[in-house]
Amino acid sequence: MKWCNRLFNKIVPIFCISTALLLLLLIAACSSATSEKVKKAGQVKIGYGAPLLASGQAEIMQGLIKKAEQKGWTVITTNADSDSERQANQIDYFMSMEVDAIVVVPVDSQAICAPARKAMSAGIPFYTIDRAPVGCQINMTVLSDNFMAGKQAGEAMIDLLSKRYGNARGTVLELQGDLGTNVAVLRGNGFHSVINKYSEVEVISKPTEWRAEKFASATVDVVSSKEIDGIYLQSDCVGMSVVISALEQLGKKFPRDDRRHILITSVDGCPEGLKAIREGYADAAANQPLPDFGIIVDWIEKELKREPIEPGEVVMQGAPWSPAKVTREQSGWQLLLATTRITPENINDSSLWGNSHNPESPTPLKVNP
Amino acid sequence: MNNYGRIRGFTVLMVVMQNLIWILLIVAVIAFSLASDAFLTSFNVINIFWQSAPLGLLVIGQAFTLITGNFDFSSESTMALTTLIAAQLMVSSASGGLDLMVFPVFSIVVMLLLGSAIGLTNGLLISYLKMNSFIVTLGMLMLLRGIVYAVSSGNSVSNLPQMFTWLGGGTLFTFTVGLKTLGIPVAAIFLIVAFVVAHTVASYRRFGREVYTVGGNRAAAETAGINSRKVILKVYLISGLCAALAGWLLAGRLDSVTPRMGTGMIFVVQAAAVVGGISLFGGRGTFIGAFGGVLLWSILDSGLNILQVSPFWIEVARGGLLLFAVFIDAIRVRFMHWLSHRQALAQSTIGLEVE
Amino acid sequence: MSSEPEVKGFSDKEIVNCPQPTIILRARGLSKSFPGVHAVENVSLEVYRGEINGLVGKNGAGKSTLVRLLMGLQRADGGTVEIGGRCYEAMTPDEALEAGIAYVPQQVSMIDSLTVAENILAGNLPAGKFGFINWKEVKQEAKRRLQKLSLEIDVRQRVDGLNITEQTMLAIAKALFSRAKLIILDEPTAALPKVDIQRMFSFIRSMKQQGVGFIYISHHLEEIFEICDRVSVLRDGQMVGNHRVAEINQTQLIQMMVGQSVSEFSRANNPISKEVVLSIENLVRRGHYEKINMSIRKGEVVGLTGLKGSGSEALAAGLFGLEYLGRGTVKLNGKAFIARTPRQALGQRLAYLPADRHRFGIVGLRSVKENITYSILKRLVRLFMIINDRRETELVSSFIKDLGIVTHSIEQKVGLLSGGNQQKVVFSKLVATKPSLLILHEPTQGIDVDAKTDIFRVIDDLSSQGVATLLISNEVRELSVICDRILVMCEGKITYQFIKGDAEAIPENILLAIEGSYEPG
Repeated sequence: MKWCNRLFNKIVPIFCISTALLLLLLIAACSSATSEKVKKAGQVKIGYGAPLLASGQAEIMQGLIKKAEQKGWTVITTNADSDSERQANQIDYFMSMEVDAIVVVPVDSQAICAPARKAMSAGIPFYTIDRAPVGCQINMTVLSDNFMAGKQAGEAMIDLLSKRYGNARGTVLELQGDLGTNVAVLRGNGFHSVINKYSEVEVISKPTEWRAEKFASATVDVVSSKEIDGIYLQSDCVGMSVVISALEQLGKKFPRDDRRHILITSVDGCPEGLKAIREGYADAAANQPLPDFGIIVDWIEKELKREPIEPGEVVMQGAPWSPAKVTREQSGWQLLLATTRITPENINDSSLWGNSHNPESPTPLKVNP
Repeated sequence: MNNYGRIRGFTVLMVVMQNLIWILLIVAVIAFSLASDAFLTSFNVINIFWQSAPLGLLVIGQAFTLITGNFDFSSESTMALTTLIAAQLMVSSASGGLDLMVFPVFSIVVMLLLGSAIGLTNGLLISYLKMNSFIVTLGMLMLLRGIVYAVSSGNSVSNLPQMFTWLGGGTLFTFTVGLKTLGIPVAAIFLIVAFVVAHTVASYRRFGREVYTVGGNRAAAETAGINSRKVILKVYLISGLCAALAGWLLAGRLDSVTPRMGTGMIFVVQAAAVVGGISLFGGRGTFIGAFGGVLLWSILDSGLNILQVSPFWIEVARGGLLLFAVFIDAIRVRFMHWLSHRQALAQSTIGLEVE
Repeated sequence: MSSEPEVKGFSDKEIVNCPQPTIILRARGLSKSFPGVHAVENVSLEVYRGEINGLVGKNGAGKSTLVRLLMGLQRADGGTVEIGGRCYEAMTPDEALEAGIAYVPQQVSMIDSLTVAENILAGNLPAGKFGFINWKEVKQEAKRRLQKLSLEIDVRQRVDGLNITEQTMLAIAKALFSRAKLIILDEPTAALPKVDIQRMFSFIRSMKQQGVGFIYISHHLEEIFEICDRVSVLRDGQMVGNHRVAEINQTQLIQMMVGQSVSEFSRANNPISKEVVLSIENLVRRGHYEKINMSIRKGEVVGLTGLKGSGSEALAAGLFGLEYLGRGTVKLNGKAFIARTPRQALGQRLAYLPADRHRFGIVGLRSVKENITYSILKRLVRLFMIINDRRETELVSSFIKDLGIVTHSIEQKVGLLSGGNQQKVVFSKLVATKPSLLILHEPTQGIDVDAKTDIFRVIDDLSSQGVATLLISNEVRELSVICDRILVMCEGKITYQFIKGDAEAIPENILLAIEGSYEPG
């Protein structure tokens, strides 16, 4: 029985693998490289890769799905859980599933380039939302004007400081996002473009990698050791609730009418941010039109119909993202959506996505340049 | 059933248990290809191998330590750190590097040396200072990851030179199928070669034999003159080196290195190894089986995603598979023992078998 | 005696002095086999109330298996156990405890960090209001119980603070408190200083008065004669005698233990060369042995024997580098011998067969082939350190043939072979290293008769090839058959030497010498 044992222990596994591998490759080669599904005209399928599903990403995804379904398209969604490798794998799967276009919110702006190139060389148009790729050119990126948002938050902070002290002075804590993303860089630059004009305003910047616990710990560290007049959050989606709790822990949570109130401005306009403004603990925010990022489907449609894209401006009356600029950048076409300023006065406006999650809002809005 | 029938029955059962991974693999492939015709395309099959490459290298390193009865939880961080340093040496500061523009060959050497050094450190702590491998490597996991973030300041590195990314991202032997042009990924070839080498060392070389002996019964190995401390040191060195190689492959595929690279992968590595037959108790398991484990994991990921199963359920499925594998592992030891015991009794000349 | 707290325990009411002795336990025809070995064969045993029944037998005679069967820890292949009026074919440990059998092992395992009181009432701590433990009541109850047994131990003390005698007595007391009718004592005096043995005995005698039955297992024959009423002798798994102690003497007892059947094996008369392989002068290791002087010549088989703790095992382990050898002059093949690790010992051509082959001898998971060759892989490798498969298979096959290892393939996992075959595998591994000195520690432990003869033959063959052998064992019959000389150690010193062929070199005398009570002449 010795040969029997040798057979089972050594040869069978090797035999199995080699046949399996050969079979696999044979079948794969013989079958078409692509699954031959007869596609009815108009049955467009796009793949959407979300980086995670928290802090506003769900809103972006829902907005896109709504707009796509309005056109009769199907959307296949995935969640990369903040892992760029997983996102690359998911893009591979989209390609296997023969989607017509891929839309992605990149986990990492630099790491998205390799999979993007792979998709585009296979003939699938590639788009990103909310973050632009760094180091490669894709079909189009949709962003909110992060610079404008930062600027609006900065202007709000200056106004509030001026109202309090007569002139713009004081110390402001800037809670920055992940400096690896250009979003954070732009929101910072926009903020500083306003603040730096005022020499008596001191800014302490702390990075948070878009992580809530870092927002909290940075707040605790700085506010407990210095007199802070204002806090600027680059994202209220991620940071507002934890920052307010941190202030409460430190005994520094005071509403607007209190003299000791710490001024808070932010970017995003998430429900948490709106709630804080409503309750009087925060003061202003720059609204990111998250559900409206889905507008990229119009441009995807253009690409699929082989229509050219022209630089310029897109205006839709009453839309919070209007006017939007179409420009050609290093990363390809870019659609920059406008952001709007939120104050305690317009806080309950139904066009703010944080209020109703309903992107359909006909009421016109006071748009500040 | 007479004795001979019994013996044959036992043998069949034993063969099934030993080759369980292949059965699972065949079932999975058949199931997925029936469920969706996007699964068994050459493009997807190539992707499965491509995606398996970094995981496969990590599993090789992990398998060596597991066979000796030890754990290495730090390999995902070793992978990130070595690759990050290599990448930073090669590119300009605009792309996240140090502006040193080191020639890729040198930075590869640095990367592999660093991986070996980390592995060596683990080995010294565990083997010579007799610290617990679970805790030591867990600590290294956190420490090295922290260094990754500190050194990178949270930034990613991209625009890696093509010479560097060729291993993980390049292709050979391009061919056209239908409308698409495909190529065999270099990474896939490297993966298979790596497993063949690992298997040869483990099964046919003296060192491999010593690894299994130390894992099977360390006291007996020592009594027979095997320097078990040196053996354990060497397996950790291998693990560190494999982690560096895995990083090289992954960086090549993504053409970038992010500080988060590999986070959370350690669970998948353990899972793939166990599913492939590497026992957590040490002393058993083959690299062929481990290869099967790696493939199964990627097949599962690919298939479930293509079937558009919700990511939450995919995690449930993967966790379930891991639990199943550990369960089989625990059962296998006792079941095989019982099984062979019955077989031995059936064959024994003392005739104690009671009909 | 009316207001007794409702606590589970040893009730006074159960003491009834019967005029006629009643049986507590009756075992009939118990049998148990393992692959290749009949551990216990058709054993019958009776224990009466208030009787101390000694159980004697050599190592491997089947005592521990018998005890496990009585305790329900193993399922008998055949036979019945009758206890408490009920007849059991297969008892579970719970049923055994229920029926009143308690076991006090050689190494008592108590919950060391708790106090005596807690240990006594473990599991039955009286709870007061709201479930809180009433410590005062605990102490009182514990004290009360100990007093009933005339034991004076401070109940507040922690168990690990007691000396070993008290711990053992406490263990017995615990057994009694759980309503045991029959207590099996396994080598209770092994760790006790001589002074306390009497104290232990009087305690046991007082329990006997109260009707408890004992099975007393011991190697110390004079103890058996001192305390037991009857004695049963096990040999090779069979019950060969059951007598009242008053009716037999020690010589007869030993004869029953050792057996009169002469084994079929007889050694070839090989001339022993004059060349000395191992020489030891003035070896001393504090706490273990001293004044050790011995020499072993080429081709000679020297036996070394003694009770546990006599130093024989420590000496063997020290020579192999597993333990500290001590100070003295040791020469192997004329050269100074120093081995601090097994690897160094092997390098100087000294091989060691460990007693516990499962822990130190075999790698059960791996194959026969691997187990035989993993000491000598260096010799089997070719280019690139790849193992030469053909040479390896040839070597292993020759061993299988020469030693008669029964396995249906060389890839068979060693853990599944019978004990005898496993031992042969270990032998092969050692022989493969081509040693000049072979140290064997209990080589025939747990092996069936046929395999034992094979092992003897192997030792004989090796000695005719010039290998010097040091055989450490307590199997006096085997020692007298296979060894050229037998050295007996007692409390760290070599006390006697028997030479094969002398009239006095019979197993019975050797056993007495081990006990320390041999008078030559």
